[in-house]
Amino acid sequence: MTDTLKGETVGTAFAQAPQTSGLQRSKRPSNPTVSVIVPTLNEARNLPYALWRLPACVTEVVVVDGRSRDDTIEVARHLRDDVKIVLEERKGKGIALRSGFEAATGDILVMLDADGSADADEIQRFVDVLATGADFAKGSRFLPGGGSVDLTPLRQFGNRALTGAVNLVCQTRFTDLCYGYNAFWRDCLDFIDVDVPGFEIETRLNMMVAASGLVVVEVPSHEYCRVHGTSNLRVVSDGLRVLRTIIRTSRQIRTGLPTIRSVEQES
Amino acid sequence: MKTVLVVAGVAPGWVRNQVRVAAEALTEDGRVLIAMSDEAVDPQHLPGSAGNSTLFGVARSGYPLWTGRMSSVVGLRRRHDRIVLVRFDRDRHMLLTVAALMSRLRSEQLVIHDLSTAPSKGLLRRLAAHVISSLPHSTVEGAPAPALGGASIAVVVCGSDTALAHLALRAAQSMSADADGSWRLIVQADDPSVETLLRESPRTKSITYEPPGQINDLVGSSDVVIVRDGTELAGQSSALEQGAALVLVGHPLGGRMNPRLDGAWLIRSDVSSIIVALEHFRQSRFGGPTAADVRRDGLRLVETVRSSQLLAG
Repeated sequence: MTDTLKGETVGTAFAQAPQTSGLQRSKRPSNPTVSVIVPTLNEARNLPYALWRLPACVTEVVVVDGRSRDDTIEVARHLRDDVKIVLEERKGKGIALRSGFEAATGDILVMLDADGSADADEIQRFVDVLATGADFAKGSRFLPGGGSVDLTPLRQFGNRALTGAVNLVCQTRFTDLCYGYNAFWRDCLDFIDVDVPGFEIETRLNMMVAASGLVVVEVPSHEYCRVHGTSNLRVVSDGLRVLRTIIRTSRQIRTGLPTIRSVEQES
Repeated sequence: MKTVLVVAGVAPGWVRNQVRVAAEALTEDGRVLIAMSDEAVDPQHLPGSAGNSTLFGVARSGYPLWTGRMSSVVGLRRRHDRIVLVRFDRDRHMLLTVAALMSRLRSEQLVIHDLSTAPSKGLLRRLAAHVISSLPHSTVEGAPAPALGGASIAVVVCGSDTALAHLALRAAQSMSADADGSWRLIVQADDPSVETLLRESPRTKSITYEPPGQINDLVGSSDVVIVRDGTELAGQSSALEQGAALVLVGHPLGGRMNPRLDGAWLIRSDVSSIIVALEHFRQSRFGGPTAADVRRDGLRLVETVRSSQLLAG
């Protein structure tokens, strides 16, 4: 609990915005169920590392597999009896996360990378922050108590620059933009839409929650090295995609953001 | 009788393991200091692992294995009776040369533990290697590393704990196809029905059943020994004595703190944790000798240090 106090509220600039009037925070359960969503693509060897420190508060694990060529699904089934496997035909982390959100049944949804770079034990911090009143707990490697052993100087520079741009647009004080370790209450899904396929998902998500007036609290988190294999991240091309996402989302913030609910109603 | 082991450069995991085994044995003669010039950079650093500290570990005898830094490597420390210079591929030759010269100036007994697998390259390195090799009282060659790709052996000592046998079976089934070939799991259980279970289960080529019998023989040939925490089995103590890595399943601190100061790994009683522990030990000894060879090497070094001490005395 003490760790959560280190978290910093960074996204309340739009707290009075009318979009969140539908949120019924008082109706959230005091003893929430927690679903962890793990998007995978050929991560059979890394999956045990992602799941070995899951805290007791986790009640459901959803593995969303994007057509792995290795035995990721078989490994996941053996690792946990209660694992829920979702097969996603379409490519992309964003698409996989969206499928995972739909399949998960928990009150709190946690996004966890499958490469073993995130410490699952930190989930308790995120849950504590959400239990104390936040809508969205956002992992940050740059808060005191957080860190990374996997950030190259180029990636760090790019992340800082893009974070600055988003802070300017959204009037937030985010310290880390491109980090995929986040948790939020299920009812926040009504205010966001993860409609981007790739690594720009985190940027899109962070901008949407800030613009929607959700209470965002950053939680210090430590990023470890990927254990096996190489990352699918391409610094320059993915950086440019993130930049395009920032520009597109900025325009949409002015004209009205689409949400999962609005998209479903339209369809 | 004080001893210092000098590790100059970033040593791979198996070299650090070798140093630990030798240092543990040398604590029987007195205080042991492990002087390391560089911070240990562990690419497999996992959550829950402690960082570098003043303590390298605690020997089975209960004595601490102290660590020293660069100043200790170059000789800015109290005089020790014996100094062991650990040589390995990509060590820092110049530092080792300085350490060797300083030890001779201070009349310390100098022993080289040569774990290098390839001859030194480059004029300066060859020159330094020549100087180093001309100074010691004795040299101990390390065992050659086995061919890469060989399977490591893990023994799961279950006794009457059938639940642990089931857990081991599930761990074997949960291993990815890539990792499957790198391990051979031997399950020792009192209950013969475990054998049937193992035989009938799919995807368990890498797991075999061993009836109750001599634990020490099994442990002596294994790289990792997995036991339930709290069970008073002979395997627990003999595993550490024989240089194998010990994994304690179901420890109260399992999952929060991985390696204990005596080298034993503490894990929770779940499949993922067993796989992570096995993978960790495979990675740390990757490219190095087996646990049995490490132990033999360590004992040979200790014998050499003691005998050359007698000669020097």
